Amino acid sequence: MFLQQLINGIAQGSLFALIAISFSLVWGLLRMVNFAMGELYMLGAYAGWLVVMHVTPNLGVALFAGFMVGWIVGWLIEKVAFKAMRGVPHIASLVCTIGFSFFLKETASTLFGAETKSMPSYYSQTAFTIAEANISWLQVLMVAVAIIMMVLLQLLFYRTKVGLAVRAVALDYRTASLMGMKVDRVTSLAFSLSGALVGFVGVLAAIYYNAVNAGMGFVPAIKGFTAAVFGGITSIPGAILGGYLLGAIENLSVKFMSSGYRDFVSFLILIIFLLFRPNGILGKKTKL
Amino acid sequence: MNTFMAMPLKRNQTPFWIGAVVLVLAVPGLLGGSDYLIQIATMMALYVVLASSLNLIIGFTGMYSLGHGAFYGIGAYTSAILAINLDWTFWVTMPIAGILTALVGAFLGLATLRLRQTFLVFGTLAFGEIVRILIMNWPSLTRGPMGIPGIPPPSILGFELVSSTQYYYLILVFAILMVFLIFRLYHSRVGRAWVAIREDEIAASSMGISVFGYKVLAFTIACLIAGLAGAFYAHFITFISADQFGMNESFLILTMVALGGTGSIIGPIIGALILIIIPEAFRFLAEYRMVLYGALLILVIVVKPEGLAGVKGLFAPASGARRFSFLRSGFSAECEKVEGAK
Amino acid sequence: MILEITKLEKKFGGLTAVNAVDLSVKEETIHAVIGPNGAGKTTFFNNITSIIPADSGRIIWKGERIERLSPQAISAKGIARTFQNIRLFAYMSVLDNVITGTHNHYKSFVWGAISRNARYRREEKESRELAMELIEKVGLADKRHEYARNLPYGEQRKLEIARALASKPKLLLLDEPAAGMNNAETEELDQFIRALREDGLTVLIIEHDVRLIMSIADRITVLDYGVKIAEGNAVEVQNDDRVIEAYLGKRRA
Ligand SMILES: Nc1ncnc2c1ncn2[C@@H]1O[C@H](COP(=O)(O)OP(=O)(O)OP(=O)(O)O)[C@@H](O)[C@H]1O
Ligand SMILES: [Mg+2]
Repeated sequence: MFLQQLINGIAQGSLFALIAISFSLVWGLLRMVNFAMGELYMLGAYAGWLVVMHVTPNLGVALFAGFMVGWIVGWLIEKVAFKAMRGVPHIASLVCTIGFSFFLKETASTLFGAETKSMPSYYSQTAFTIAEANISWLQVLMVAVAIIMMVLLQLLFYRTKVGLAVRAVALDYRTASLMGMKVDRVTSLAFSLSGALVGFVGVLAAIYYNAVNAGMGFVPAIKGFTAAVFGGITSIPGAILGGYLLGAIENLSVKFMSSGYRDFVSFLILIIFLLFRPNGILGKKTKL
Repeated sequence: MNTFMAMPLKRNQTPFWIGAVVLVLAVPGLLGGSDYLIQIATMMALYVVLASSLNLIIGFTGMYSLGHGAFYGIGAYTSAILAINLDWTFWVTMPIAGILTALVGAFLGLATLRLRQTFLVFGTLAFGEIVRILIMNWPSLTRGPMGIPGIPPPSILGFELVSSTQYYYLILVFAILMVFLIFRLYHSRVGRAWVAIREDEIAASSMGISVFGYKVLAFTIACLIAGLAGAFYAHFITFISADQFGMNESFLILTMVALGGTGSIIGPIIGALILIIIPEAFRFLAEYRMVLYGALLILVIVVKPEGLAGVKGLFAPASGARRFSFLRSGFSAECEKVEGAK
Repeated sequence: MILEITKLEKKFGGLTAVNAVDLSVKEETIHAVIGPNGAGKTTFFNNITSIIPADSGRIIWKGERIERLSPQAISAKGIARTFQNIRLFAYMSVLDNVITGTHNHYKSFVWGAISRNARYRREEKESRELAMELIEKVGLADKRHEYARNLPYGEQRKLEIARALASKPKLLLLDEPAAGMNNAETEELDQFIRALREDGLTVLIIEHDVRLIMSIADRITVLDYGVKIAEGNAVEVQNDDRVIEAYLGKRRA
């Protein structure tokens, strides 16, 4: 039982970790939060669902579709809510992304209807059993894909010129722009990438939870943010750590309290960390 | 129109306010007694109160909160539970609801107001969700997901208020009182301290203003008012459940303030009126109206970030320079240069 | 000595911005703090007003230690300041800016504001009158309903001084008040600061305008790299070898 929960926690933690990375990517560059992250996740899920139902059951294609949809909508949000609003107060951007969150959610529920869609079940069959704990191919896949994604990101940031540019802009926006870097392009790119990442996660989640609906993004987005704060939103390794820890804690906590309180744990962690350790487990102690 | 709205300083707006009051008093007559329309007008008055109270936090003092819906809910639940379980009259349960909400607000404020900006948003958001989860999972007190039906209407001198027109006037009086109270606070030593904090915390503290104390005060008063509004709402609508006070509610109130304009008295009022009218006015668009509402919000924020009738955009200074490292584990950027940076 | 500072020290990471500085300010004098850019002058002011508390050292104000107090407590003790990078309340009127400066002297609170009782009305009237007086003194009377942000730079500096004076301080800290002022305005400022001293105020001033300093300062302290390198009257400081080196050395004055 314990083992099963742990395995579920790790699988789920992969999702949280990827969302957390998206948050810390945007946070690092703009010191802002994209509130519509959950809706990008939801759109990715719908994209994946459409592909699986109407085009091909190939999971790779579905994941790619989610990635692309997230990329495009993320790019759009950056243009409208951040780029066009540079120089205006933070909260305006924040409220603007809240507007997007609302707009995208309502658009999706108008387009696809209010009822929850489900995915074909052949993805979630049990792959093998260890000590009475069932592991599905999907769980294996989720963890594998998440790790591959993280490695790719790491390579992107530390082995490519684009990655160097992103890091430079994150380090010091002004100096980077004085040195002739195309700061706007870099920001836009990172933003789109963060959108693509959550779109991608959306597809995984759609299959894992076997449910797609317009409101599905809110809770995972908050949990992704919690994971980011938990591990340290200022660092990607922190975000990853936070994601897995949160996944594990959440699934294990079900042992101790009724499932109605499941989300409670995350919110509590969020508040406690914001108050007492806003830079997370890995972050240095600095006032935010 | 912006001149007199955006100048908080030059008084004599009395004729305008008197005109406004006369107009709202005449609303039921103008609407020809249609129950449906009068109920919408009542909701408008209620949201005017909610948006104006959030404006204390956001517009005057320059803080953030995404938990306002939860405070509204605490007020509603408190009053409803007391009225049903203990059979107390509205005139007792309503103030208790307000005070309890204010206490919770003060407590949250003491804990979170040292957080800044985005983190405060998420802190209050998480708090709001916790409140909702508690309501859902505490059936012995709140009836959990079933909600509380049959909340008794208030009565005045033995008369039960039952018709929508009577309610309209009750809530209208409440709204006018609250806006008046906020207006007076704003134009006082207290209000100046709040605005000073919004404009520049460091300068405010070296003028002798206790920054933290005044922040907690603003938060507490805003929560008090939201709690009272919750009580009025509960007895007006007679049925409450947790999802009426969730995240969407907080979003909606925040949006009203942002859209109408922050830091002025009239801004949140305008925002509340518009955002209640729009979904109703576009009812013929059926399900598309919510889409439109989202799009409109984006549009207004992008075109006029300070809102339609705000004094200025919310407090945070534009920041092009405050970005910092994130790809290393942890970051070592010193706290921003407080002073002396050129 | 109204203000006595001993061994004040403030580090930013590896940089010692204020290094074991001693300073004594005599009542009703104008005491200048000068030094090249980055010498630590502003940090020194921030330490005194607790905006950035010092790491160590003592600050004794009228015989009482104040280095642990909060900025608002220090303001209540009668120490007011202006800021090098002007910190006005931008979206407040000129008048309200100055009235806010009187915050310390009044007590009316939420109930007073709502009920507008007698005390509230008296306090509002008093603070308004004091503010108007100060605004007239700095020559901004006809702009009193403008937002502070709409004033030209020089006038913003004057407004900041008026706001600081509204708290009726005993000690006024001015951080480069003449920066951005033209000659005529600087001359006015010269007279203004002298008049403050005649009214019984003590002034601690940071300024790069050498002529202004030499003209008004009773005593001058020179900082360089956070260290006090010289102290004396205008003539003594001008002839001090270390001061000449600090100013004419590798770095620009
Ligand atoms: N908050 C801070 N964090 C880190 N370093 C700081 C901070 N404030 C000042 N410094 C550094 O401390 C040193 C002293 O700065 P300070 O502003 O006190 O100098 P100053 O004498 O006022 O210079 P100026 O004449 O240019 O105003 C500088 O090297 C500056 O970069
Ligand atoms: Mg300086």
